[in-house]
Amino acid sequence: MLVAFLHTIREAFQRRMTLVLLAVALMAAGYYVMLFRFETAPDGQVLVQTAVGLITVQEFLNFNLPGQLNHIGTFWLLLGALAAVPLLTSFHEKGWVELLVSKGVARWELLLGRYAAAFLQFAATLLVVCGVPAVHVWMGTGVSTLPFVKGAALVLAGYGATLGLATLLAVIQPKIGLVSVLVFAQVFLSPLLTDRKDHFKEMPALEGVAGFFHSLLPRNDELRRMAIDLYYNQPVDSWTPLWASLAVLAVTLAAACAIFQRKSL
Amino acid sequence: MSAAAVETSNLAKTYREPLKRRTTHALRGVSVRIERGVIFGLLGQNGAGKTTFTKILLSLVQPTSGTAQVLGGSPGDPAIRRRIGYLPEQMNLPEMFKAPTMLRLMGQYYGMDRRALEKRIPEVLEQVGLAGNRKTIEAYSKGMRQRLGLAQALLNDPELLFLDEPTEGLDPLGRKQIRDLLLQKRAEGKTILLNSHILSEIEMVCDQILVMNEGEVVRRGKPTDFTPPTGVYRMRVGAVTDAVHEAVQRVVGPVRWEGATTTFTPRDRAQLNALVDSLRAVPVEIEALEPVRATLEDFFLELVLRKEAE
Repeated sequence: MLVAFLHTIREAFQRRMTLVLLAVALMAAGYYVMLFRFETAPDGQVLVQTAVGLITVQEFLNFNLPGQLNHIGTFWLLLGALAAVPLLTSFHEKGWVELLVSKGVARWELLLGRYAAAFLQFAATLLVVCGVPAVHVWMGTGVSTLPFVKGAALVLAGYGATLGLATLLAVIQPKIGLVSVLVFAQVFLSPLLTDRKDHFKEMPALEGVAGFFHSLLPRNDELRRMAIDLYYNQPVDSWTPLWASLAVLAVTLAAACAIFQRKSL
Repeated sequence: MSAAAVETSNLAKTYREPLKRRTTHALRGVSVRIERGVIFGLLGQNGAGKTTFTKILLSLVQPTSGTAQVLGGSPGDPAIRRRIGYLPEQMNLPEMFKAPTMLRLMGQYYGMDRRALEKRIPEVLEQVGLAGNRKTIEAYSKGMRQRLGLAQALLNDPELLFLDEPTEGLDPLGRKQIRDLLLQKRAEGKTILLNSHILSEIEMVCDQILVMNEGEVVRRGKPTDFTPPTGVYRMRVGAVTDAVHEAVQRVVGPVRWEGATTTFTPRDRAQLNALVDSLRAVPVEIEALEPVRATLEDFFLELVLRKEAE
């Protein structure tokens, strides 16, 4: 599995997507550090210099870091999926997958090695895009940003489940375009499925369909909301979205391995 | 007694496509034993089942029924597959790699020891004629890609080699080099399963040939079994004069000449000897006199035509 993992990491860099993603993450982190500066007022109070002027730390913490969680739970997650799908589909190409399997590597090792590398790619960029602001704010204000880091970890768990689904789709139909569209659809539809009762209250049939898909798919939107609740120290009503997403991850990876094992190449 | 290189029993593979309501029997009960140390040729039209047969032996396809053993074990066993080399017909190579980098990667997938791998890479590149090449794969010609494909198949010094169209895209010299390499591997005791559309190549290097048609074994034997004498003789003489014409016509009847060469069917050996005596009496130099054998291509075309007629 290690060989497949290292090979995929190498491929990720050769495909430039990882470099682009890391570069964007570094730019975003650098921009954050330059944009938000911390100043100590004569009365000893720490203030934050923002684009709209000086604000208190509490005001800053109330809008800025939750906004970051919103961004990584949607925009960054989609970018990560865009970079990961080619890594999950490319090795299925005709002539290449046969070659790797014929070398004596177990099929599940190939698949999980690929998954792990694609996951690490996103986790590394997430570390930059979340870690730098977390450290910057903590050092500038002295306020713990651990809740923010916990929130980011929830988003990462949701991404892991989405990637599991992408791995399964890539095994069934290894077409980069199709898998990308389906993964994007899953992430985009996540808020709709979460709020299905509001959206489809006059259409019980559609609500039933949405409920069915809600029970099958990763719950990225609920995890994003949970992350923000955690940040505000609000009690989490239910951890079901996390367990459900982890269950999706386990089931999709197991199904992908089982299908790939029996697949005629 | 060591196990056969390949042994299959009633191997069958059926592909079902429920949406198209179509069932394809790619293999229908193929039982084959291939001994070690031979070059074994697989012959058949497209769709005859050759590729499915090979892929089952490589554990790339699961059989519907029947059993297959490779090097005494299951093809699904990774330890067995590490003793096998495989050159697929189509290969998508990583374009940005150089040959040694690509081979290093393949060696890692084989689970080869790092030191052994670094020693082995220049050896195989030398064997396939790519030593000292510094280009990235994207700049490779079709022939160079084929040589690199062969190099990765030889990397682990396999006991059993599966080669699908190994000389595809190579020039005549390259083909000769690869044929020599295969013969050298056989001399080292390796077993080679060769799948090629170049029938003359199969005829030249294979010890055994298996002909498949519609998923079944049609015939198996040595190349000479497929190319029996036809009863026709080909003769070339020094010069075709009127006296030569007359001498030949007197013994075997009227014949057609193409330059100084003619073909004819003697009644028996006595008539053949009488022709030689008659020509010596002319006198004329007999440069060559040989029986014409059927070629593998003749056999193959006959098989195809018979199938079409049915």
